[in-house]
Amino acid sequence: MPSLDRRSFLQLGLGVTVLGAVGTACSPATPAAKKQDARTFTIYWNAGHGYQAYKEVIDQFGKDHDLQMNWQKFQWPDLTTKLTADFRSGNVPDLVEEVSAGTGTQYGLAGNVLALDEFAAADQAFGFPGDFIDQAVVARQYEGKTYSIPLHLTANGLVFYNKELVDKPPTTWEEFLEIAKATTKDKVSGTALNADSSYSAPFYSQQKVDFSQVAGKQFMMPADGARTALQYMQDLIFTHKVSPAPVATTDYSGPQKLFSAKRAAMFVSGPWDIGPIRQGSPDIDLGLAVPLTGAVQASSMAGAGLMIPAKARDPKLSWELLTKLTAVKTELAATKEAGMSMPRKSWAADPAVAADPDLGTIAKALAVVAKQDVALSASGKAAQIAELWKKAYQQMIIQHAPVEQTLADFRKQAGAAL
Amino acid sequence: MTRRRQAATAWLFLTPAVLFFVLLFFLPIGNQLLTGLYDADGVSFVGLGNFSRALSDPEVLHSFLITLLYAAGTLIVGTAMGLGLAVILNQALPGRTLFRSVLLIPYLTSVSIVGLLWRNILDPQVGILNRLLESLGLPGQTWLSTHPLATIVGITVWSGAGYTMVLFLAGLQGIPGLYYEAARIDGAGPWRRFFAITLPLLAPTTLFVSIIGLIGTLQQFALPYIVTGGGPGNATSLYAHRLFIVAFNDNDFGYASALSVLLLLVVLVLSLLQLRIGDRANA
Amino acid sequence: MRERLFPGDRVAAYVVLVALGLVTVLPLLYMIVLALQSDAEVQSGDPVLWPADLQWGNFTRLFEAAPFGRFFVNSFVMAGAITVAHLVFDPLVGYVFAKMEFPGKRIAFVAVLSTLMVPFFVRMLPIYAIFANLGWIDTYQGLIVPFLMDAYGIFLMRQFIRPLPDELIEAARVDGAGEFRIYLRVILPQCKPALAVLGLFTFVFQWNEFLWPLIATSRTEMRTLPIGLTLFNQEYFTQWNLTAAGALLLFVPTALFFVITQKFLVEGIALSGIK
Repeated sequence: MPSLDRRSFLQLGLGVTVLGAVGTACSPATPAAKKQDARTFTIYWNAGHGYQAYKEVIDQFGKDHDLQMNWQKFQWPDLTTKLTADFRSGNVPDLVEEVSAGTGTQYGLAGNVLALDEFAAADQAFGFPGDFIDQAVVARQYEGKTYSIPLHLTANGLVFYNKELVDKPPTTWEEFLEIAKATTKDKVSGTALNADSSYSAPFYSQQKVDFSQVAGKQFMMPADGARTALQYMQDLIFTHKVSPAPVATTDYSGPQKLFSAKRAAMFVSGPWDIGPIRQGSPDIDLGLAVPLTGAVQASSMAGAGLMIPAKARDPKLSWELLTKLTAVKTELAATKEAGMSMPRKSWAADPAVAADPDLGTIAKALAVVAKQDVALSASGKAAQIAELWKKAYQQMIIQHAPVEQTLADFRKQAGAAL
Repeated sequence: MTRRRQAATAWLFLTPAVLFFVLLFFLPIGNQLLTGLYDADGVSFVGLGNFSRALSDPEVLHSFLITLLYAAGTLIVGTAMGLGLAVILNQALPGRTLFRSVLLIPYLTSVSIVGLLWRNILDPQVGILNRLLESLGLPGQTWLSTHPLATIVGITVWSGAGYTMVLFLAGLQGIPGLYYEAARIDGAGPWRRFFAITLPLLAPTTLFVSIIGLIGTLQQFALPYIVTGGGPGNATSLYAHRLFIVAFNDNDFGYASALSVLLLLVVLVLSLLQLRIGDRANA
Repeated sequence: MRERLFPGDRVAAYVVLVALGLVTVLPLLYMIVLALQSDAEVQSGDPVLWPADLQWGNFTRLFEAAPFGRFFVNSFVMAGAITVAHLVFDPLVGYVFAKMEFPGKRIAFVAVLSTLMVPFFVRMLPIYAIFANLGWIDTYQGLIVPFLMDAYGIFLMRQFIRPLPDELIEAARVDGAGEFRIYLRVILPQCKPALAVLGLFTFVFQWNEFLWPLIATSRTEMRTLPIGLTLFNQEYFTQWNLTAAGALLLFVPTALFFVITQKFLVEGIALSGIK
């Protein structure tokens, strides 16, 4: 047999390595992972909500039930992608955080998550729906069935202002514009609009405009209000020049960053921006004011929820953990840790919450949240139409497209999608 | 060797590949593409309905158009740069290893990092580029809003020029030095040698770069996904990004499959054309 | 006397190289600056050119926040095994397409090439469903198997092998060498530059791959590095300092791999006797 020269040896070596690698790879996964099938409990969560308060609840739950808790954290788009793949393959987690009200309904009607009314009815101590703020509940129901339980309740529409630059916060659109003009000088803008289309909601809600009314295939009506709202926003940037044009990115911290850099005197957002400002620029005297009044005072609801996949191994177990994560005690702990606002009435009534001025302002904003059209989520086209709105909003706010025409196009496309 | 024996050997060598491709490419892809014949609910059969919908959907047509623009821009600029850099760095210039390595660094970086980094740098308000321009007394840029597609092309070229360069370098190194020697003896100057020897002998590499480049750019989805979200409006809504949104955001897998098939057809035709031209020239 | 393309051509070359080099490198240097910033500096909205206090601790914070060591290992196993598989299979198939004739060759090649023309996420769902049934989720084989071979590598090798002189192969046949022997002893050694390129690109691509590891794993211990990095995007803002620190860690192995394959590229020059 001819002796192997260097090159053949190299090839042989490679071959052996490959076999070795493939062989090792094909060996059963680590023993711990094998055990996973029966005794692991998998949760999908948002990376930004990984509070210590939740960790403690989850760890305790694992101890109580002798389970390996697999708490997976993702960015929202990644969570959605993964969940879509899971639903289509049947390999689902045991509990999932819901990005916003209505997502559960969409999955529920497709048969992917469970309706939770029976669980709630059997669990009086849980206090659903009685102890939960109405809007948060109603937005998650369709035809008498509830598809998710609210975890957080926040509102977009709060007015953030720099007390050094602004004495008295605005309460109406006119005042807002006035103060913005007065504070725009040198490198400072009066305000900063957000590239994300959900930030248009407080404005059009304040003009009594409904995003959708699926029954009548109407979108962004009444038309006058819609035009007023979007024109007002567009004018802030291009006519009055009190706000820079936002950039189309997938990051919504732009206005907050400008504010923190003292380049914006005010901006409209939700409680999620409080933490970053306090942390990033503690020297700024942050003021928080209730939402503006256009034709009416309104804010737009936001806040995650919890859903139980239909094919979850043990829905009763999932429900139990759900109740613990949404208990008043947990809510208060999370608020103390992260300043997040919550959907329970008993939470709002708690002295710790009532005493906090920021939370008080937030509570006032929560009281005026605009109603959501649940039929949109039920149609299964909510995500698609949200994409269409995103495009329209960016065209108006970034590309300075004519408001009337863009709104008309949006209505047409949204109607066609239904 | 007899033709039969050669054919037998060929298929023998191909066996593992055949198995692999059938199981992990053709069957899954075929399975997914079949869903293109059904409606979004996955149950109602609509035959070619999704296809006619795609061909008359202005969003889809717009996506396709800007994808072609993106591909053309990226390929032309990227290939020219890659080739130029490879030729320069194939010379015995001192420090060439350093330059080769440096120019390849962006390619070694994951696309999500590249996207996030550039998004950060180019932000008109809080990005460092504008702060630097400001401090130099120059006006700031708003490329992400005013020239979003060109910006995406720029980022792609930035991260891919080194890669193209390496491919051309490997190709250049496959050209025997004797040819150059002979030409030099015959009195041919450097430009003449480039066009008469280098370019023709680089043809297989050039073909590879252009086909792979075309296939890759027509399927670009990560940069729009990370940097602009397809915006502003739909200015950077490249075809593959649109496809991803339809599948994972709208959950309309039937329509998404139809869009995949259309993409496949276009890319296939363009690639076959290139292959034909290239192989004929290379014969 | 060295040939000149035009007067000052060498200077011009250096100017171009340095300019391009700066454009290439500065953003990445900025990433280092980001990695060394404090949380407050990152959220302050004012881009920082040089942090007040270099936060080397950010790198250790990564390891505290999540098992980055484990992510590293997972990424390495996945990218490494796939690279080896490609180096074994792609040249063989490329050789067949480059140098052999057989019925159905055209169609087979087009079929293989066409697999490149469908974005990965199109075949992702059926594969995920099958793997879930096989119990291959959260396993190394689950991460590796979909990528053992692909048309890119096959096409690359085909293009590099095609110009190799047929006489070499004929001579070996005349000598009585078996077909596989010819492949191993005659063809492969000629492919060093291409193999180096294939190995490097495969490793880099798989090292940075995001979508499949996201879908194919559901336990933190099985996450790969790119997915581990997403843990640092809070819901409404990105923790740039930690993300950048993680990105640098992500970058180091590919840089090392590049340095290693550089040597083979150089060896390739020596062997083919050009300069």
